[in-house]
Amino acid sequence: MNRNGQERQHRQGGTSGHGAHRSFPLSPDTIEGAIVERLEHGHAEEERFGFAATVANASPPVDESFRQALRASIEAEAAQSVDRERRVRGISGGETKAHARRQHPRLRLALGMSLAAGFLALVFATPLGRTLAQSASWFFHRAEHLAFPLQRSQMTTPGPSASTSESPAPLVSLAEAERQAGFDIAALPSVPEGFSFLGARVADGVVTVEYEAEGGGGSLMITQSREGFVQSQWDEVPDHAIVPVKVGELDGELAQGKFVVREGDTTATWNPDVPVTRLRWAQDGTWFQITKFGDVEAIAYLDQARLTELAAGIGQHTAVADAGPQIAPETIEALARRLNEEPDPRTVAIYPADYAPDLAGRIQHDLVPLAIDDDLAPAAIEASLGAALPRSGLVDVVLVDQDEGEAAKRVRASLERQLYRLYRGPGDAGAETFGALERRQYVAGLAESSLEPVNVVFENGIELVAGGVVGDPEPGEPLRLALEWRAEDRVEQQVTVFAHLVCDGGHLIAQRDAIPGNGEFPATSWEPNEVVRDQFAVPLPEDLPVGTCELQIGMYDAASQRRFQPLDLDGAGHVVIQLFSVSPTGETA
Amino acid sequence: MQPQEERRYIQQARGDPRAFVHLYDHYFPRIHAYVRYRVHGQQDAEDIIAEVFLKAMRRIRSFEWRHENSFAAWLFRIAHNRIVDYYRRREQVEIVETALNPGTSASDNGSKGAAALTSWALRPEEALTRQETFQQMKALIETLSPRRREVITLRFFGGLRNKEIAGILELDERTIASHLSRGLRDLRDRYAAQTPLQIVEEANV
Repeated sequence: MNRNGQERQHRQGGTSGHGAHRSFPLSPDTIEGAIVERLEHGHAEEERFGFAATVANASPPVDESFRQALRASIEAEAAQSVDRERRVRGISGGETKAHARRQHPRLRLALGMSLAAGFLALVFATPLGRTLAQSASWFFHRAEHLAFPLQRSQMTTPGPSASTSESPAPLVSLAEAERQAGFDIAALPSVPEGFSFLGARVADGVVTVEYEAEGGGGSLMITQSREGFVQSQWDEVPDHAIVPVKVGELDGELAQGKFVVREGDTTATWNPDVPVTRLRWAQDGTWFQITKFGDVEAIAYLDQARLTELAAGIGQHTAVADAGPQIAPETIEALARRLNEEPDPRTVAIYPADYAPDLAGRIQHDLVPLAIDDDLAPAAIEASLGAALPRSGLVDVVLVDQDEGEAAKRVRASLERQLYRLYRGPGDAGAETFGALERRQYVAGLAESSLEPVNVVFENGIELVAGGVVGDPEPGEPLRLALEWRAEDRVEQQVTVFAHLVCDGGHLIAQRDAIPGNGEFPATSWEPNEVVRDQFAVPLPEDLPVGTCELQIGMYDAASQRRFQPLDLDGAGHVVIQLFSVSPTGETA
Repeated sequence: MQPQEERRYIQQARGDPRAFVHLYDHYFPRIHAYVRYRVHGQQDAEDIIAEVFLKAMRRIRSFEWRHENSFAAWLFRIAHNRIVDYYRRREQVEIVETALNPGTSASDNGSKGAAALTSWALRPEEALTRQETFQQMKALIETLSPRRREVITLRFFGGLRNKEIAGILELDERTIASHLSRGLRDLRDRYAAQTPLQIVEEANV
């Protein structure tokens, strides 16, 4: 029998007592490293000799004029930047520098217009030229013609994946949008009549505040950026369709209509009757566009004049004051009291870090403020949090409850990947709330895997790929566990995963029932074939019963409580993924 | 470019952005290939490529060198985010078009008209062959699921390792490997269906 066969056999449900104990012929690091190496190496071989080489050799040809034009633009901007820096340094001190930096985007955009005529001719023949052509005097780039031809690939109706393959940036609160964008964003002083507020999206430094027409059929979007807007041919406007306007004291431009294309067309055509109105202006180094879509009755009152008035309201630059909930002093007191009741030393980490001063001096444990920078990529968040979090021991993390901002969600997910949520018993969620604050209990520990392959598929198609205990368990200490799940197809049904530590022929010593990722990675959110790691901790009692313990893993339908059976395990209802023996001294093996 | 050389240029560019042009020269082919595969129109792709490099140069001071592949990962994350934003905007336009013109369907609104004059570095016939090969492979890759499409293009045209791709796409490294294997297998099958005589049988993908 091969090794897999042996492993499968000793994992049959209810096999406790057959004497198979935890044993690793290779260290977890070695196994993990070997897997990664195999995958990398395998693909490297493939890329050299196999069909992958055919793929890799199908690079698109490069348009050299574009390549050279872009290179020249980069050199020109770099040179201008150096020159500007020198001039600023030569004029005065910090205030001037700061001012210059604030004006930098506009200077940069103007650069494209100030280059020599010969170079401009080259630049304007390229798409880059259109990007740089966003001068201070024109807010809309002028379309030279009322139609432009489509490429062949544009003349076919895109398949379903073409328009839905990428998700838009998520809607977040204004405070979160400000944090992500890194500048103070402006919003209307109140929600305009006929609209309801949706939220804001941040993408590539551009913030869009969105309102939806009540009853649907229209929307209002306020877009702002410190670096100007990308000007594609689709954004261009014929000169005759542009109306110069005053937004307060500022110059702006208003455009009615849009380039549209219908099925079967070979050109995009300017349509002045499309109910899309755009107004652009700039103030204090920020570029604004307010766009009204649709003409349903609820928002029909918002004509060009009123839209301009609305814009002037934004122009007053009402700063967004939405810095999260204020925490009542009694809430802080209750939380501090609860933390101080804990006899075991621990680190208390708090996110956002702004709340740390409220808790400082009130607790007897170490306090760590958690902060992340603008980069919301998981690796960046993991690095930021990882630098602050302790490497071992108990960690209590305090979060703002119900914060649905993108940053908060990602911080939560990152915590679940870096730490092990501590479940103290049946019904424990590993968390408790104090007013607007939530306390989560974790155990820190290195994230390296010590998992053995399991490869058991449940009747709902979910596979337990690997699982096991992380580190060396000790009586009285938290037992850290990790499971890795995968499903070939999307999972439609929500599942709750249980882990039972059963000793001495049937005594339930520790238990944890939770949605994978402690609620952060529900099965319905998994990508097909994505491996999802679910890690947590359960405390072991000091007086573990002598004998054999087994770690049982299973899952059930959260709604009906019905268990999903592991296939090929004769109705056991669970998979035993690890066995321990407890010696009379209480040691586990 | 050797890693230490790259690191030196990055450090120089933080103080003097003119040094960035060395990084541009090195990374242009990879960014160009990746974006061209991910975006429909040549002009849209070139817009995005320009934005990626200009943005990278402007933000080079915020980049922190951690290891030899960290700059590539950072640069491709900028490109990936920009492409996501491109599709988001395109989708917005399509929704508007559909809502405002019932019975019509906006097709590929994010791209822009016919290509401008081009000057290929290759001889015309070579350029034509390359263009045809690219179009054929692009059409094949576009039949893959969005995730596999992304993984394949980052791997083969971005030249990234699985670990960097995992970081950019926020997925587990083994998931990336799985997408890569299955994506390649699917591609090979479809390619074989088109050009059966050119395929050499392979045991494992």
